Amino acid sequence: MTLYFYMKPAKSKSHLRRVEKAAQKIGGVNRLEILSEVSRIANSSLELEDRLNSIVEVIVKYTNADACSILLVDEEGKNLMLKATRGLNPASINKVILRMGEGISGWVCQNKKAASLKDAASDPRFIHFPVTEEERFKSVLVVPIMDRNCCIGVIYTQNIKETDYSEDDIKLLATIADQVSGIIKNAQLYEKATQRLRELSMLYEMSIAMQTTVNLDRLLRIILSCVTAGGAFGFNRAGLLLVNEKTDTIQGMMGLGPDSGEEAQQIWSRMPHITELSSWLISQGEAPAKKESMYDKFIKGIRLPIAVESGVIALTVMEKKPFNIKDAWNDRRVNHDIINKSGVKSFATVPIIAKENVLGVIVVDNIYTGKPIMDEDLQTLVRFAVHAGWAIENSKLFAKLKEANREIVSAQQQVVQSERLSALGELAAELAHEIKNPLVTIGGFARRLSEKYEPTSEEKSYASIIISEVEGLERLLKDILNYSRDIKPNFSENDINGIIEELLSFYEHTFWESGIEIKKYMSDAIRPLSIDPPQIKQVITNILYNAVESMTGKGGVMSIKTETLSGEEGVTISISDTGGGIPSDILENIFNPFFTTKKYGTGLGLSLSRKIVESHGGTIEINNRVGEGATFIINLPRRQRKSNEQRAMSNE
Amino acid sequence: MEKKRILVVDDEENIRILYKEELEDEGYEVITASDAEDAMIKMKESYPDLITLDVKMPGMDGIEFLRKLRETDAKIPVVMCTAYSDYKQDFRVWASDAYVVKSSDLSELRNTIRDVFKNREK
Repeated sequence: MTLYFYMKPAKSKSHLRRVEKAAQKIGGVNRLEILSEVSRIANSSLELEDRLNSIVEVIVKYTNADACSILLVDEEGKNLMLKATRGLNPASINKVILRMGEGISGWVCQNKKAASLKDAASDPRFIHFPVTEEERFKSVLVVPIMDRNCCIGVIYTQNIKETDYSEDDIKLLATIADQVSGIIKNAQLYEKATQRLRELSMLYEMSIAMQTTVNLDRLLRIILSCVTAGGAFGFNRAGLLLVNEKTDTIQGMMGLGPDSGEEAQQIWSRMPHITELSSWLISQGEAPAKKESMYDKFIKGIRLPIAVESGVIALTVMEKKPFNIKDAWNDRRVNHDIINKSGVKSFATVPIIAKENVLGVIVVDNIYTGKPIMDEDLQTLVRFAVHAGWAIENSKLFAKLKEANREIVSAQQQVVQSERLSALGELAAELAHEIKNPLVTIGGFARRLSEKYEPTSEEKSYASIIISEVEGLERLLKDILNYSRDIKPNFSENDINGIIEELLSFYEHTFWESGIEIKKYMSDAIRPLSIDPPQIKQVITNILYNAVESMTGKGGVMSIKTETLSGEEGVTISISDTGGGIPSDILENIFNPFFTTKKYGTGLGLSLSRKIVESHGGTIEINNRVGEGATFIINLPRRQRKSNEQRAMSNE
Repeated sequence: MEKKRILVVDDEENIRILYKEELEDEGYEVITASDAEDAMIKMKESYPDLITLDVKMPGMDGIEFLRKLRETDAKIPVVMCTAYSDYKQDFRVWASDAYVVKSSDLSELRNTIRDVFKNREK
């Protein structure tokens, strides 16, 4: 993008007339020519450096000066630096630096007065810089470049021959200095404008990048890439912390930054041009860090209450303003623990604000370059943080929406599931009943046959096969009927640990045979719970049985843990195995009736278990670790005593 | 001692045959009925000492028959037989003396009948 910078003619008409008059009084067309040349240069759209070079050119060409240089005061107003020269060694540019008041130029600048010296070297103020190779010059004429009451630089002319400078000479040079002042001021304005433009297009590019995602993790990575990108803010490291309103703390979310200066060099050499910033940032969001950096770890470890004692990060949230900490160790607002861990002497914090709420804080530092953090940079960062705040707010809202949607879908799935189950249950009951009677007669007569045959006869063994097959089918029917009918538990107060111990000792031999080690973690704090013991035994047996099956042939560890159900007086029973877990493609099916991966099995065990637990008002969950094992978690809440009594009464 | 007489009520013929043979082996005299109506007639003819009653039958079902029966004869022991186990929760079967889930293994039925008679003698 090209910026056309129009410079207003620096001086008013009356002023120009005055200049012309002065020039004429000095005499000669030459002088007028100089001024028109200078004015032409002032109005050109060249860079400041080029314009200063042109001006020293013109001065040497049109006046009798043999050399001309321009020195400018730096931003901090402390030093004068040689910026352009004609006649001195060009290597002197940016090399000749004088403190305010130092040398002849320094004196002129400090006293805001011109100085003309016939024999400069003999003047006590004179400081010689070998790099300039100025030994051949004898006389100097120096005038200050004034902006209102401030000296912003000097024009320094030199002559080889000893020269007596006239009043006219001084006046001409002062008039040129006036013009140069305008040029410099405009150049500074121009620089500010380009800076502002750069900042705006940077914010624009960043804003585009941030709008591409509502995924919080990706968004945070884009935000931090903005803050650290060389083409953007270029901070060495940046961390992002978010406010947790529930706990009233601020929590580290992500840190971005190299762990060493070398790594930093590598990263900076890959930085994009500003016009490619947004696409680069988007790609940064998509590619998660290859390895967790120490800095990321450090930021993620931060968790502070939002209180004055927590230091400057919390203060940023509380006061909704940025902090630029220049000397962390001697700053009382800084939490020393944090600088200890981060290893920085200076850093800055900026609040992330959306809808007048502080969502979080961005922390930046320049640990590797040591470049001081300027307040202006921080202002830009504050503006950026507003964009970031909106993006984060959007992402949060989206997450809430997604969560709500997920709940609806899950509720819907549950409805579908329970409808399916009840239809299946009815069908199963119907079918079971039809099959039941024929099975009873087949099995019953087979038994009668069996009794009539000799114990060693072939007929007896055939009858036994019929009997045992029928028994198997009857068990299957019982499972189906158990499943399809409503399970009304018969509640009584029981010791859960006792029931588990009983089952474990019952199956002790099975565990031993399968090479399974049992680890028990039973809590003493569990109070007797109102349950239906046979039903709960069935649930635990089913889960134990599955766990044993998963470890058959390879052995393993089965852990059984009981603990008080968090926040309630109930109990949580966890049964873990090391049988490799449940393949993820079948995980969602395991509670479905008739779903089985076993050669023998009705596929009703887990679905019946869930029904039983639910009829106890509890839940059953799986914590599945594919390749490791599975943990079944049964949560049984304490039942309301009142409803329990009512139930007992209605049962009588 | 005179043989105890049992009336087996079930709509399935093969079940009736099975129960009859099994219970006769146990030393009972067994008569059978295929539905509630038939059962009423058989009762009047032969005064059974105990009835085994299928819950699910076409026409009047076992529970309804039990209710009717109790209106006229409150004493005769009745053992309910069914494919389901959830009738245990149905208060209407509480009027019966025992409840057996049908199985090809008839030992539960035999034991139940024996227990009912034993309790009655006390």
